[in-house]
Amino acid sequence: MSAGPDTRSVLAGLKDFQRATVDYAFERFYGPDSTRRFLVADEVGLGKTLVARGVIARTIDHLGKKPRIDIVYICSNADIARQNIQRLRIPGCADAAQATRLTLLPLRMDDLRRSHINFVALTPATSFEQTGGGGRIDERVLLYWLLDSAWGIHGSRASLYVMKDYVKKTDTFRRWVEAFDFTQVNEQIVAEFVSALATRVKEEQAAGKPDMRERFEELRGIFCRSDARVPPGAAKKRTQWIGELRRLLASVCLATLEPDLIILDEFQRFKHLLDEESEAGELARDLFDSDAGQGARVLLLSATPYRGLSLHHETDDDHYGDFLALLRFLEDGDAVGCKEILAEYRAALPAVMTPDGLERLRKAKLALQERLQRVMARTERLASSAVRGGMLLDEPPGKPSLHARDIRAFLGSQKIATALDQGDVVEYWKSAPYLFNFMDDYALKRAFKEAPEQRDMVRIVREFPEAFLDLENARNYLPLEPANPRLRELLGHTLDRGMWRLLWIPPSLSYYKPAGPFAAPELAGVTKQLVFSAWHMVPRAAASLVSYEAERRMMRAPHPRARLTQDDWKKQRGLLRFGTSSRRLTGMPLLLLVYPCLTFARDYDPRDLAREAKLTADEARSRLASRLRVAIEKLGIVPETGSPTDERWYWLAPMLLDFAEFPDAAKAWWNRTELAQVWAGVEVGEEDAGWSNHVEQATKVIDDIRGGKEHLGVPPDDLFDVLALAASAAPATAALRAYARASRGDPARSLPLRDTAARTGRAFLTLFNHAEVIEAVRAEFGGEPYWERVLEYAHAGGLQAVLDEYTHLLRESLGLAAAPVAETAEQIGSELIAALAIRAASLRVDEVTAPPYAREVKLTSEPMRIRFAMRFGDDRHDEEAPPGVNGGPTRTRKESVRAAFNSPFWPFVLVSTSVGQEGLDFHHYCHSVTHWNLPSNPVDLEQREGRIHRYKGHAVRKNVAAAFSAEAVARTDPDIWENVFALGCASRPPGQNDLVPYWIFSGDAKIERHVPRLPFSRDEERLYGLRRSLAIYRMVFGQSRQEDLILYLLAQIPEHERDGIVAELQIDLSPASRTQGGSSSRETAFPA
Amino acid sequence: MLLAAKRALAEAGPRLVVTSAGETDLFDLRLECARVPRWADSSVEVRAWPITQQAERAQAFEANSIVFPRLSHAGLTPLIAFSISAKVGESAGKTVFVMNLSLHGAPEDRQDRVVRSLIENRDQLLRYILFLLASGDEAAASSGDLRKLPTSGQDGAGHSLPHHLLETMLRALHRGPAQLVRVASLLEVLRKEPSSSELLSSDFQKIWEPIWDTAQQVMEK
Repeated sequence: MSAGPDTRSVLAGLKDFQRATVDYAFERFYGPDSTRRFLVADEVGLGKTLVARGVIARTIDHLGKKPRIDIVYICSNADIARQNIQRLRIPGCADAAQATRLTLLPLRMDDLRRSHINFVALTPATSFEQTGGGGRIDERVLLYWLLDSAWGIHGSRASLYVMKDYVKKTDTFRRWVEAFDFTQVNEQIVAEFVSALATRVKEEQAAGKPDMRERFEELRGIFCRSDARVPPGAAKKRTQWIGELRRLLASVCLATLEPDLIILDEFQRFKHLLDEESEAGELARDLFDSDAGQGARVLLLSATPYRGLSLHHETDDDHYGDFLALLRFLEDGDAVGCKEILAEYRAALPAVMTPDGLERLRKAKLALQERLQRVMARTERLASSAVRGGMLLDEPPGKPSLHARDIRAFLGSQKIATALDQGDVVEYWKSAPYLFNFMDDYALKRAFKEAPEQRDMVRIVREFPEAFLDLENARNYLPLEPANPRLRELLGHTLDRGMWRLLWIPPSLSYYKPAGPFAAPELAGVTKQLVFSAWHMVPRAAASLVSYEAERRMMRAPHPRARLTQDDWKKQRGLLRFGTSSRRLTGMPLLLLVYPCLTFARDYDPRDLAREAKLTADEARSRLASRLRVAIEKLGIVPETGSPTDERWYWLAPMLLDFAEFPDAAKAWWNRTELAQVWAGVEVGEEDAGWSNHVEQATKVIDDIRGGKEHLGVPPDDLFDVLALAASAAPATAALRAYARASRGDPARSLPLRDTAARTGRAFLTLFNHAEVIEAVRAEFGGEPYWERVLEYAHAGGLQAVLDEYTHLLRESLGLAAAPVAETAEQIGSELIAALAIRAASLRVDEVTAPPYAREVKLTSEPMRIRFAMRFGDDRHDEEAPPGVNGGPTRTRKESVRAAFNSPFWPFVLVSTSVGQEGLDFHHYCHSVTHWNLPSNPVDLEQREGRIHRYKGHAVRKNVAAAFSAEAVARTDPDIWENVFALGCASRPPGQNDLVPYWIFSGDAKIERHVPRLPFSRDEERLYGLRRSLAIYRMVFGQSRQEDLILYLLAQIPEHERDGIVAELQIDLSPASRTQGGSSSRETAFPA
Repeated sequence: MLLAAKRALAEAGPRLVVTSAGETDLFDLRLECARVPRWADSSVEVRAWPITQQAERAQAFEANSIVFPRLSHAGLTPLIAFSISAKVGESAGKTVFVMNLSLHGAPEDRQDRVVRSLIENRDQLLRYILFLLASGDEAAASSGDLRKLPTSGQDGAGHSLPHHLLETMLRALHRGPAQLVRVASLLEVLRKEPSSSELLSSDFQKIWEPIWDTAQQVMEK
């Protein structure tokens, strides 16, 4: 039974500066001299979404007695919506309705008027911008039934032919129509749509125009049969008619909403909604100005509400115009007076180096600050400092190297481009290797494919083989030349360091010293790598070649010179299988990996060892083994004398220990008829054919042994050593501990928690069954059986600490702080399993060859697997997965990839185009950004780096853990990371706010900025220019022609005085500054 | 009349002869003609000076030879500027032009010494290389045009002005290796200097070596 919205816990969970912003925004909304529109412009990564959640909580408290509260959340795309909806949830409220299209609202809002709190998520493209198109198939199905309510159209095939629009097969559309459940459509919206349609028809009739009904009948006449001969333009007319209907439905849905709070997240991406001149703006305006209840309040969120800096060539961006337009919207006026303040500031700028000039600037700044504080607030980290609170490492060691082969590749590519009259390829060549293999829809590639003079092409391909990818080498796992300096550098600080030896990022806080590859000095401080490029082909090339090289090194790890082909990879079957051989079940020992053992979890926790001493992995294993020997002996099992070694001990021991220590819980586990199914979850693969037999066998053997019907033989010599590994790091047991800590649950009392842990254990088998993983693990830890090596690997890699860290992050990022135990475990488990089981994508590349005697170049499409490095946001189809008939959208590939990158597991490298530049988090396991191509605007540079410098980011966690891990393990809070950060808070100097330690904490780990560029290249100059602009661009806030002003100021202000002057003239919009005269963080009005 | 004087000068077969000025690294440059030029009119006045010198140092060319004394390596040049002035009645005319003359007796390393004296820092080197890649005009090395290149490549913050050297080299390579050969010759000259390691930084070598390797491969084919 819900006790109502738990707003208190939401507000209590905020960091101090977030809470200050929430209170300030609320005061501006509902306090004296209030405003109805307010902007929170906190710097990227400071938790604007949490601030929004706090404002929601306070709004709910304030409007508590109102029978219905509507919160509308608008963001630019479905990915961000899905990420943030979780975070905006208020505990105790019914689940948020997740409509991402206004026209689908009737399906989502079950009973708008009866619910106390409604939460509606929309995206502009699909809700406000009804372009006149026919929309998605599920929208048209809904419209079909709405029309049926109005006009009774069902039963006529012509109706189907009209409403199917461009769907090729009428049967497909008919099936959608038949499967549709009209009872779930909100009745109120149906009634209002029918009424609005009738009104529209009357209005059109009154105006003497053909009305909607008449035009529908006309269309039915035209599309009367499936094989009807349709006159030209009729199909377009049909789509337009459906578009009109969609617009009508959208306006009906909007009118049904009675928004109290509208949140526009990262609104700069859809700022046209603020412009009432447009059709979309008109629709939105009606929503923003809604006077239902106390009237709608509009909360805008954006780190870059206007372009922080617009350069001459950026004709689409106008800082000055954007800024004034925003101010007009926020003040709901004409920004009168503001232009004068900005003009005065500009007039004073030339005299910045004189006392009078500086004084004028100070006054103008204060006037502007006062004006803006009424409608906006902004908090920044130490943004004025070029080093971001001491955490930025510009230019880590390592520079790209240029090889003669690269130059040959350039020559070959340029010769082709010249022959095809396609201009200069230098910039392409600098960005990616093997242009003609990896380019897809580029003009150069098209021209190459369609080259009329093939003889030239054949000659160049033969003369310059360096320009083309040698896939024959790839088929034989031979090295592929990187052929590109940037790629060579990326390989240098990832694979050449040995990252391919790691299946997960080592823990930031270890319970004992890791071993094996995790202790390799060259891998110290390892982090994932986020790569940004402006070119579409870069993610394709970089992800393919880096992934290939990782796979190649893994496959060749045990036998570097052996003959090996990709067919061997295909033939390699997973070694962790529940198989049967000669009627013998071969996978019984694997139960040790996938059985979540309560006794192991409670009594043999590696974290407890850390309280005793600083141990190596071997020492930790020995201590656990000694204790397990005592425990097993206490079981009093007497082996049959003279019997052979009985390997059943390995998997039976934890189960028997549980029967001894947790008899009720053990019975509850084993006494389930559907145990095999629950344990496996839905992921039953080919290797699981014998799974249920194994579970049955385990159940029977346990019963027989406990009942004395059967006896165990002599235990294996290494039993306690192996059990020690399992107690430390068997995946299911480690997951059990981690989930119990994250959910604050008692695993002995929660079967769902144990089930989730068990399923997680099985997901790990998938990971360790990849052919290349098998080879890599065997190369690290020799000997048989493989499952023991897996345990050894997991123990060496501190799997328990890894999972504790990851689940701590997931609990927060999934918004599960106040969720029940089972739900917490279930959601965290789903996320973890999805990350572990993410499928390798197959990327098609063109093999380019010119065989002897060939008269033309041959292009063959070949697949390349990408797993170690993946690309992000490169495919239009990733945007939104097709929905089920009545279901919500499933998770897109893009979301899956992002979630996996935000896990400790692969991919370790993510290559993104600019789509990943704004709004999304990549910081959980990554504190290194590569600017593959430099943006022209310094604001973009900061935006990109803002993706990884965020709350509890990887660098911050490493540094905080390095400072407090010893004290943290001694504390009793189940979640060690809560302890670590609590210690970090307690130890910060007075006057600091919560930015320390959650966002900023200096130490060895840094936010690394890689800019792989060759000496004496154009890129070097661009970087130099960007760095200079970064230092000063905030001074030209609110001005037009900023680039000129920057150049002028750089010439006027001596370098050593720049920081001081910039700091003095920054506009402080922090809520805290109004009462405290500033805080430790730098707060300004300037977007970063 | 000016045209006739110009023609007469060319027909006189002027050439340059270098002799030692009696001091290390100083030379006398003698402009001499195989025949004494015959001017059409006595009002014709011919003056000459090496273009490496200021015009104020011009000398009247009255006999069949004149000497420009004590010139350095950089001062030696085959390019001689002539000014011819003449009067016809009240009206006066003047023309100034440059002739590229044969140079005899110049020290063998004159070109190298010129280059070395002009390139004092890395920025000048880069600009010179860009110049070579862009123009490919060998005469420019001796003409003094290099002086038109900014002598300071710094913007006050210690950063060189735009070069795009890498991209320019690549484009030059695509056009053909000839311009890179000129750069290689220049580098060869500079390597003889004790301070060459300062001029030819390791960063420069990183891009130059693979490009030059490739250019050589192209030439071998």
